[in-house]
Amino acid sequence: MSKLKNISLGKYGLVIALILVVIFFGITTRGTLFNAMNVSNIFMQNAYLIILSISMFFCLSTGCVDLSVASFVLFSGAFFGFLSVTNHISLGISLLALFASALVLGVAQGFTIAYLNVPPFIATLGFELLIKGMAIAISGGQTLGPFPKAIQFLGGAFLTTKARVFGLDAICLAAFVLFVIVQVVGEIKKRAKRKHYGFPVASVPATIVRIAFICLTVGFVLLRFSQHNGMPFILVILVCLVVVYSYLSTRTAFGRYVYAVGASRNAARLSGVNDKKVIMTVFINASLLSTFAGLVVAGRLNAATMTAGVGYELEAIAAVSIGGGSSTGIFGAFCGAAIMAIVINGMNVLGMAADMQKVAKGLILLLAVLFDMYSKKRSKD
Amino acid sequence: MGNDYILETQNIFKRFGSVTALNDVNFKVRRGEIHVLCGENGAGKSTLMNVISGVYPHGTYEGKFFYNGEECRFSSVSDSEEKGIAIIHQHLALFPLLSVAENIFINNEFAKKGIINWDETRQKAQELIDSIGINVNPTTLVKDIGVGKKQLVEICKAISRDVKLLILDEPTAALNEKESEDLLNMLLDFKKRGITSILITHKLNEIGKVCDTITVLRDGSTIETLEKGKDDISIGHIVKAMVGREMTNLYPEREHKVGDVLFEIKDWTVYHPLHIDIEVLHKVSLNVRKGEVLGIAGLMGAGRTELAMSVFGRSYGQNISGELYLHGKKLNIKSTGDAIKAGLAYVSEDRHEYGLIKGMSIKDNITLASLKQFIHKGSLDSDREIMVAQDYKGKLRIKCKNVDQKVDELSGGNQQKVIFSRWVMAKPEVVILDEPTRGIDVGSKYEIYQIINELVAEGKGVIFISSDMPEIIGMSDRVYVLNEGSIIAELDKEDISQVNIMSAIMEGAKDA
Repeated sequence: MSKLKNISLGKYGLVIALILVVIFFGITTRGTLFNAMNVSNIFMQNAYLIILSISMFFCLSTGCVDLSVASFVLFSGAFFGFLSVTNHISLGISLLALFASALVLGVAQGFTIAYLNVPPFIATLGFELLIKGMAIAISGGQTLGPFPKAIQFLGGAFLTTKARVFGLDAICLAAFVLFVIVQVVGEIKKRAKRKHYGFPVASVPATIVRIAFICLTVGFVLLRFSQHNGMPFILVILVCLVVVYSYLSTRTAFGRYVYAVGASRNAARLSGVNDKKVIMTVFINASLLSTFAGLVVAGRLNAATMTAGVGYELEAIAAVSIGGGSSTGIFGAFCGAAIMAIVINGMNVLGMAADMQKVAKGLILLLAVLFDMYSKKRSKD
Repeated sequence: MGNDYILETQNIFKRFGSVTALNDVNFKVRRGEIHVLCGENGAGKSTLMNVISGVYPHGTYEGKFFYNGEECRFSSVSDSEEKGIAIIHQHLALFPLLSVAENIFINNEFAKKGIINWDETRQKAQELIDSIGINVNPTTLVKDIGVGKKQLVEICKAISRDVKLLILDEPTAALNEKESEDLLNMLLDFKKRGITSILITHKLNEIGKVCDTITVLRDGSTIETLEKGKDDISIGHIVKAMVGREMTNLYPEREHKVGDVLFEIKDWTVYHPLHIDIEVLHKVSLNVRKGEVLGIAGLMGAGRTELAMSVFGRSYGQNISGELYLHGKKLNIKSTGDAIKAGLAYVSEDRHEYGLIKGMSIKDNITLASLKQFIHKGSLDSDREIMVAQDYKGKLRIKCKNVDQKVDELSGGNQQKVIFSRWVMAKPEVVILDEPTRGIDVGSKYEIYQIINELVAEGKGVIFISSDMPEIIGMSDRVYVLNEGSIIAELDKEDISQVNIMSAIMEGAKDA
């Protein structure tokens, strides 16, 4: 019995928060939260948040906050719109120019923080204003659209198929089967390895419950996709991003260095880690990812608006904080983003006014982090 | 003094989960005495003091304790402070960005209706500073003064609160010979003023002078209580009680096989990182031979850590000039990465700030400086990492649950062993050790000396910086004495002695 308790109320605090949020909005929206169209919407409307959370995860893991992500989102739509829509430049060249400029800005920001030692809060705030200004200047303050088909596809398309197995969309079913296999096989291998080295493993019932819970949730979501328009294309991209970045942060030397620099920058430096290069890299990555997120947003709306990105940096910081920061990894950040996504969607379905939504978001961030800290503290004693 | 006990504990038990840190402790301190508490790391000394001072509040431990005959049920440290109990922890509780005066009177300000009288604060702070005899300005920020002085500032803080029972946890760990002596004399002075002191220390050679009673803890239990004048308080007896077995030699035997010059520093000059005109090191030249332990002695502030850190990848200072040679070849070192590639290693004196990566596992801490060795097709070979870490766990006898455990949970000695593992793994030719056994118990110290012996037996050169005179004398083949940024003496093995080192420093101070 005591073994069950010891296995971190801390980690599960996050899952409990997720369940509570789902139940709360499930009840208040009278079940609308769970219907097929809405579940698809949750992903489509908040894909940007998952991308930005990954970017913010790396920045926060090195101990640097990034307040400029929102401005990159705005700049992305505005600049691409200016090139592609206003000046009819080809898709390829526009994308190249867009990401090249994002890279330059990212290098500039990274250099300012890593080599000029300007505190990240101040530096990213400064760049945020700079880039926002540039974006509005380039677009002339106008909404730009419509966007090329390819970008629309990125932001809003579904991989619909006529093929059906057991009445379900074939792609969704295949994805589910693949997911379950990966989870189960991965877990078995991980347990075997930990046991081999004498590391503690969670009890079998706890693990089964955990895997079952994850698979049921994913299964439910995929079912809803199947009942609506099928698998959102952006989800495929998101999964790839999560897998790649998860690998990067846990299986490469770079991922180890990111953690070391964030935990003890001086100690990391004395161990031969090039802390400046690590921080620079993290900000260059942030500029590219948030530019990509900007394209996704513009693609879904089929327009670059002047209000794109408002409040996104705080949502991303909230998502990573709720997710538990560097101790829970990319998966934690993903869960935090999921919680935020459900909250945002829930408030929209309920028809809450924008100002009340802000109040609610702030409260939820505070409560979730407090609960997470409390449950981590309990598990330590 | 008779049987007037200012402090008495009865059947104290303190548990952390399944670990029993204090096991039925009955501990008595007479009023006005200096009572020394000894024990290996993990014996329970700090835990016991944390119970008494209220860090672990009433309800988190079993048993009772009495202060001045009254039973104590502290809910926080403030409660114990009000009664006149002050504890100075090994890891000081000062605010680096506030001044000395502000720190001394923190939470105890000279304030009328919320407005602080800064003149009075500064004046009273100066009085305390003078009464203790520190050379520091009350307006200096704490982050700009050395560890030794920080400790004395903490003591001022305690005195300002009219302390009656002063608890000091490893006060001389970060001080050199002279400063330690001054501190101990201060305790004798306090004794005359009626202040009772409990002193936790690993420096067994110092306690004979000041102690009235010694209590030895082992594995959470009180093993022995020895009274000066009545019982045998020799180091041998105390160590036996602490460790549970005889320890004949404090320093392991070593065959001295010193070879050619391995590493050379020539005309090394370094300026202060914040003040370009202050010269911290002046044309320092020294060399280390293969298989040699080279001791670097000197007072706090002499520049030894600055020398080590500036040599190791220019991690300290600006406007650095001079040359470094390994095997006669000139080295071009601009970063710590370069230094490691060239074959240097540096174990910092401050393992919490410059050594351990907090929140990271033992395994990850060990492999950090050598991750390139584990890269296989782009990713880290985690199986090999685990095996190598376990290998070092065995070789250096690191006491832990497993190598996946976070380093924060280990004792000081074991943390230091993790850092040693990291550097041994990087296969250096020259290892610079800065106060490697600071704040570590006798048993672990011996194990670290053995590790050092193994390093030199392999033909490496070890630069050994230490403020612990017996340690330098016991371990070094040759000693350089550094004073105020310059080398003032070089002593060969036969000439290494406390007298020679101290007179060299005194001579140096005279000429300055």
